[in-house]
Order: sequence, then C-alpha cells, then structure tokens
Amino acid sequence: MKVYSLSVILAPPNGTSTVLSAASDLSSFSFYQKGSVGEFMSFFSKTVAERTPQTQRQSVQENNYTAHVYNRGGAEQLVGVIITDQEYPVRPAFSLLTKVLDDFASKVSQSSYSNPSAISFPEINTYIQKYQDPRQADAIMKVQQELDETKIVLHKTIESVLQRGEKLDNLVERSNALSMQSKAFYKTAKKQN
Amino acid sequence: VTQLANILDKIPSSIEILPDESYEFIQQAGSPDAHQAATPFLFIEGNLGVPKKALYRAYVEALVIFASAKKGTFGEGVYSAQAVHTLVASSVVILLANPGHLTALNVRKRLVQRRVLDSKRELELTAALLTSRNCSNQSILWHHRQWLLHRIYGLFDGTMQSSEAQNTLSQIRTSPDGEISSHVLVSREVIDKELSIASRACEIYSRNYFAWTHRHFCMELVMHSLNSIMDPTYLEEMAKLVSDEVIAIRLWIERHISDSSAVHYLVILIERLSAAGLIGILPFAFPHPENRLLPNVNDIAQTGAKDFFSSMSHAMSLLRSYPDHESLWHYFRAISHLADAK
Amino acid sequence: MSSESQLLIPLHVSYIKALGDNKDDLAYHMTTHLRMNAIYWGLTALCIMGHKEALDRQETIDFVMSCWDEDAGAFGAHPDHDAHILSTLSAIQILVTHDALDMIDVPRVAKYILSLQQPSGVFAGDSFGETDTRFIYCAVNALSLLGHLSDLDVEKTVSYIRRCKNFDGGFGARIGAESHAAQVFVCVAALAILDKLDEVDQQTLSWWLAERQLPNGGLNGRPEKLEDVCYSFWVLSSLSILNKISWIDSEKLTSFILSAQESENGGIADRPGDMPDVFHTHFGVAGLSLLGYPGLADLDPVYCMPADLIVSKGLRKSWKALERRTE
Ligand SMILES: CC(C)=CCC/C(C)=C/CC/C(C)=C/CC/C(C)=C/COP(=O)(O)OP(=O)(O)O
Repeated sequence: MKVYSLSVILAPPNGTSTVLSAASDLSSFSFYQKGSVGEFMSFFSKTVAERTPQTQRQSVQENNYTAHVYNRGGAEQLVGVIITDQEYPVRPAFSLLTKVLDDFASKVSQSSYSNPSAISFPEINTYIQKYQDPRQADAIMKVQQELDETKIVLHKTIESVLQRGEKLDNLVERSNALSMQSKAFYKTAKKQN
Repeated sequence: VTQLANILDKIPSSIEILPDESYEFIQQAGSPDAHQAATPFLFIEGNLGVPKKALYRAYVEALVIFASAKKGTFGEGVYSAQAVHTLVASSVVILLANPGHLTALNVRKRLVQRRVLDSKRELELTAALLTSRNCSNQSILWHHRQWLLHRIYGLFDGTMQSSEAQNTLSQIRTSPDGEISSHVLVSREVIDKELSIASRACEIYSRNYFAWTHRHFCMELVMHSLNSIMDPTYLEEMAKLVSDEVIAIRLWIERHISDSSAVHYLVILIERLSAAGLIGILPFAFPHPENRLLPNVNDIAQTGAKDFFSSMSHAMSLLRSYPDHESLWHYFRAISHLADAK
Repeated sequence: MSSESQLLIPLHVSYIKALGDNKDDLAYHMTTHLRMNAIYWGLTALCIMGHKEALDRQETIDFVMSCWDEDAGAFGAHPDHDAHILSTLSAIQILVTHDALDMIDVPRVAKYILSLQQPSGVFAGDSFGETDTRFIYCAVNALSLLGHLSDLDVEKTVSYIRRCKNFDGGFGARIGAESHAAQVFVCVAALAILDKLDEVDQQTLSWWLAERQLPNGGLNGRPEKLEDVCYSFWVLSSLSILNKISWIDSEKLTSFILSAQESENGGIADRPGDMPDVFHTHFGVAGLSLLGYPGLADLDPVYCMPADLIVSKGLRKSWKALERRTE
C-alpha cells in the first residue's frame, strides 16, 4: 500500500494543465528508474486531470498504478491527483484529495497560479507522508462517511478516459515533458507486465 | 567483460539492467567522469546500471572465456592466479546476465572451498546481485548465500576445506531436523543484514518466493540458537530479534495488505515459536518491553496466551479496515486456529 | 479474445524442431543450462501431438550421452555443465521415451540419486546441497523409472513431505514455505508414485487448487498472482491425481491456453502476447491433453510422460483426466 505522488493541478476546461504543487515518494523504485518514474507520474497526473470534468471524481487504473482524480471545479479550476498502488483504499484517497485541495485553495492565492515555481505549499509533503498508512490518518475517517462512493467512476485502463482516437502510446510518444530515457523505460515496463 | 567484472568487484549497492535507449540519455544527463565515458556501464554513487545490449555482448564473450578457463583450472587441479581471476570475472558476468547458470555458480563455490575466493566477499557480492530484479527471483542464488553463511558461521568442520572429494553432504553436521548445524552462533547484525536483503528483494519483485523462504531460513537459525545456546546475553539479543521481526512483519502486512506470502510467513513464525515453547518471548504480554528479561519457562505458558490474543486483535483490526482482502481473512483464520490448538 | 480456437499442431511441431537451429542466437546461449530439460519438454510435447519422429532419435540419444558426467555418475544439462538431479531426471525420461535406458549404468545413476537424500528425508539437487521438494519428486520419479524405488527409504521421504504441508492443504518448497501450485504438484505426484496419497488432505487441497483459476480462465500458482500457462499442468495434473479435474472450468482454461499460442512461428507463451518458449509449449500441450483436447495422445500426469509408455512399464497409478473429445 503506497502513495507514490500527490499533485495539485490547475486545469482550465479544454486547456492545458499546469502542476501547481506536487510531492512524491519514490523510495521503492531503483536508482536509475526514479527519474523516469517521477516524470511519468507527473505526465500521467496531468493527462488524467485534463480529462476529468468539473466536480467529478474518478479512479483510473494503469498497470499496477491507480490515479485517483478529483476535479474540484469552481473559480479556482483546481484538480487533485493522487497516484497509489492498487491496494490503496479508495475512500481515504478521495478524502485526502478533498482536504488537500481545500487547504491549497485557502492558503495559496489564485493570483500566484500563473507562476507555479513561486508557490509555497509545504503541507503537501506532510500529507503524502501521513497518508502512506490510511489507518493512521484518522481525521479522514469522518470525511469518509460523507463521501458517496457511487459517485466515483472507476476506469480499468487509462484508454477509457482518453478521447476517441487518442492512444496512450501516442501521447507518450508525443509528449515533450518526457525524456527519451523515460520513454524507453515505459516501453520495457510495458513488456514486463 | 573485464570492465564489468571490475565494477562488480567494487560491490555496487544496487544493480539495474537498463533498456538500451535510456542509457545514452542518462549518460548525457549525468556528469560521467572521463573514466566512465569510456565504458558502456554506469556507476553512479555506487549504483551500477548495465544497458541490456552491452550486458548480453559481455555475456556471450564471458561464456567463451569461462569455458576455456574452467578446463585449465579444474581439469588438472592446477590453478594459476591468472586463471582464477579469469574464472571469477567471467562467472560473475555470466551470472548477472543469466542467474540460472548453475555451473558458473558452482565454479565459484569450488573457488571458495579452495580458499582462493574469499567467502565474506562472495557473500557481499551475492547481496549485490540480489538487488538486480532478474537475479532476485533465482533459487540458486539464495541457496548460494545460505551455503556461504553455513561455511562462514561454522557449519563445516575443519576437515571440509582441503579436498573437493570431501564435499559430501554426509559430512555436514546436522541438527535433528537435518537442516542446520548444531553449532550455529550468528550475531544479530548478521541476521539483520539477511532480513534487509530479503525485504529489498520483495520490494523489487513482490511476493518473492525465495526471499520469504530465506527469511524463514534465518529465523530457523535464530530459533535453533535460542534452543541450544545458554549464554544469557546472547539469548536476550536473539529473543529481541525475534520479537522485532514479528513487529516488522505486522507492519509489513499493514503496508501490503494483499501480500499472502507475508501472512503465511508470520503465521508459520508464530506457530514455530509456539511449538518451541517460545511464544512468550514476544513483547506483547509485557507492559514494558524495553526493560524486561527473558521470561523463565514457567512464565512463558501464561504470557503466550496474551501474545496470541495480540496477534488475533491485530488480524481483526486489519480485517475491519479492509474486509475484502482475502489474505487478511487467511491471517485471522490461521491465528485463531493456532490459538485454539493451544 | 484471441482468434486462435484450435491447437496449431503443425506450427508447434516445426517450432520445436527449429529450436536447436540457431546456435548463434542469444536465446540459445541463455538456455544452455536448461538444454537437457528443453529436449525432454520438446520430445514429450511432440509425443503428445503425435509427432515423436520430428526429433531424430539417434541424435537425441547422442546428445544425452554427451552430457554424462563421469565423475559424478549423473547427467548435466549440457556437455561441460555440472551434474544435477533436474537434468538427470530429464535424461532418464528421454532415454525411457526412446527405449534406450540400456545406454547407461543404471545402478550407478540410482546410487547418485540416493546419495542426495538428507537425514531429514529431503533431497538435494546436487552435491552442494540446495534442498527442495522439487528434488524429492525428481528422485522418486527417476528411481521409479530406473526400477530402483525399492532402494528408497520411503517413510523418511514421506515424512519430509508431510512436514511441508500447510494450513491450506498445499505444499511448499521446504518446511515452512508457502504453498505453490508447482510445489503441490511435485509433492502430490511423489506421494502418488510412493502410493501414499492418504497423506494428502484431499478436500482442502482440491479447493485450493480449484481457486487458482482466474476469471479469464487461466490458472495462477499462488493466490493473487498472475496467470501462467505452465500452471495449467501443475494444477491440472494435481487435480487429476486427486480425481477432481472437473473442479476446473475446462472450456475457459482450454481457450486461455489456445490464446497464448504464437500464430506465426508456433510455440506457446506464458500468457497471450508474450514470447513463446519450449517450457510453456510443453506444459500448455500437456494441459490440453489432460483436458481431453481432441487429437492428442494421453499424458500421464504423475510422470509427465506419454501415458501408454508408463502403462507398458507397469507403472500406471490411479488418476483420471477428462474424456478425450472427438470433434
Ligand atoms: C514435470 C517434470 C517431469 C519435472 C519437473 C519437476 C520440477 C522441477 C518442478 C518444479 C517447477 C517449478 C515451476 C517450480 C516453481 C518454483 C517456484 C516456487 C517458483 C516461484 O515462482 P513465482 O514467483 O510464484 O512465479 P510466478 O509469479 O511466475 O507465478
């Protein structure tokens, strides 16, 4: 049970998204893999963030990873994405997203969204550490009750959140955010699974 | 082959086989020193990265070198330092690419037996190999490690080293269960090292069958010494090790709730402790685990029940949080069954 | 779903025939340490598909004999490789299949095998002493084929297997090790050869084995792991020895195995879309034979050899596969 990454993303409808704040825990990956895995997490997060309509919650599985996405909607146009392994329970993941987004929206002013590198939101690191064990983070247990699980859409592959005609392989190929090295890792990882 | 063998000889802290395309980019991105630029292998902060193509090229070369060096070395019973060096270098390259290559591993065992290869260093090298994903799930490499541990920590008696002909199993001194010598005295440090190698292997290759079996092997060693060695300080240390292990595995299960290998291992460990009358060394029955002494035999029976109870409530609380995980039901059932049997 | 709904016998036959052809291939060099086993797998699969003649008998026997290790008194996997019980069993199985056991010093090989038994009853794989229930099966199977089973201390052997039994009725590689479908097979088949099946907790174990089937029809080796064609054999053979093969959905498993075929050059992979190899080709074909797939010869699940051969040697144990279908 692992939370690999947690990101707050600015996602205007029909536009390109921007990562405003992110934290990751890649300690379980090997030395040479870490960099690529990190790039992938953020590529993956942005891809699903852009494809989650306002006020929707969805979970997208890909290989051994699950991305939980919550588009908070509203004026801020914030989307939270958390990438976990498949064991991680769904409810705490979404509780965490609600919490992080609320916290972010209240602490970081909307005017600073245009310059993400200047944003300071150190709390995100505390969240990712704390939620490694969902049972320890007991404050969420209450929020959990309020969350209606039927509203969460579960997708078994990332292909099913993509638009018709879009292919993950092509997106990966075309992405400028991914180095050649990461693309190569992506291809081998596909073969291993 | 030589370049790769030389890096391996430095005992990397991790080994990875890299897709070929990625290698060039890491090399460009990183700041390889002049020495590195000349080799196709990466060695950064003690971490070895081997591009696939280069590895297989080295492998095919190593096979040829190995075959001819082996003839010269073992055929005549003569072994020059040069020949030994060649064998050591070629066999390690073979094993990295193809960890199932039994004969390459056997050659290394023979060199250890002849004392031309240092067994402690060989132990470190297997630790490095086991960090590579394709090596970590190979039973013969784990056995190689156990074989070395046996040698280093006193399983073989003095008559063993000299001649190869004496390498018959009947000469291994064995305990009643036939697996472990009766004179094992390993320190906590040694066991901790083994446990951390096994944990690492389960991270890179989940549910790693042989890594869990290795863990079991270690705990059998420990329990064996608990039963046969009388020094109280040592006993205290080993008892603490066992209870730390139980705590560590509980935590592992909390973090890997569908890992039925971990559940199986924990249940068996508790069963073994219980059967050996040692269940009471677990800390859960004691209010102050830090400053307790090893309980005497009479206390053990009483405290044991509390330890079962503690395991049962652990399983129960996990089930409550994650009721649809099969392995947790297995955990709960098996512990209840054990407690019942007691 | 794959388009393959039939076993591509001619393709698999030519795939197996071609295996030894490219001696310069990396794949060839990566598998030398398994060559003896590979020939046994290939030959047995050919027998089951009715094409035993596809590998030259004399060449095969010559290869086996070139792997003889005179110092050890047993076989290695390849000339210049060390003797091991795994390759020794395969060598014996090949020689028996070709009715050529007279090529070897049978008592000497039997002696080698018996020398590997440990005080606890388990067998080591070679003189360096790795122990595993796999090696018990190799020893028992080989001794039985050699007609030397009477030299074995049966109670000692069985007592080790007994101690490997787990809560779930399954068996692991050693005492205390987790149940695993392949390790279940080796223990159950060894007990079958030793006429000690009453040691098995049949109901519990059959449940555990039946639970290896996943929704896509394939079987895995342990709970919550991936399916793999080779478990078709390990699980089905165990179930057929326990006479419970009907506990598996045979239609779904059949189509899973067929979908793992490589439809251009032949061969069967571990799962659909992967590279085929002779190991999975053999165990896929073996599984189909036990499932009654039309046109195949019967496979003896205990010895994992052609059934008529085992009958002719008077070694057949009671087991039950699915009726051979005709359509
Ligand atoms: C059939 C005949 C005649 C002989 C074969 C006798 C042998 C060697 C049987 C054992 C074969 C085998 C596949 C053993 C498996 C050993 C094991 C515990 C492997 C661990 O594998 P996993 O890590 O569970 O693999 P997967 O994840 O791929 O399922």
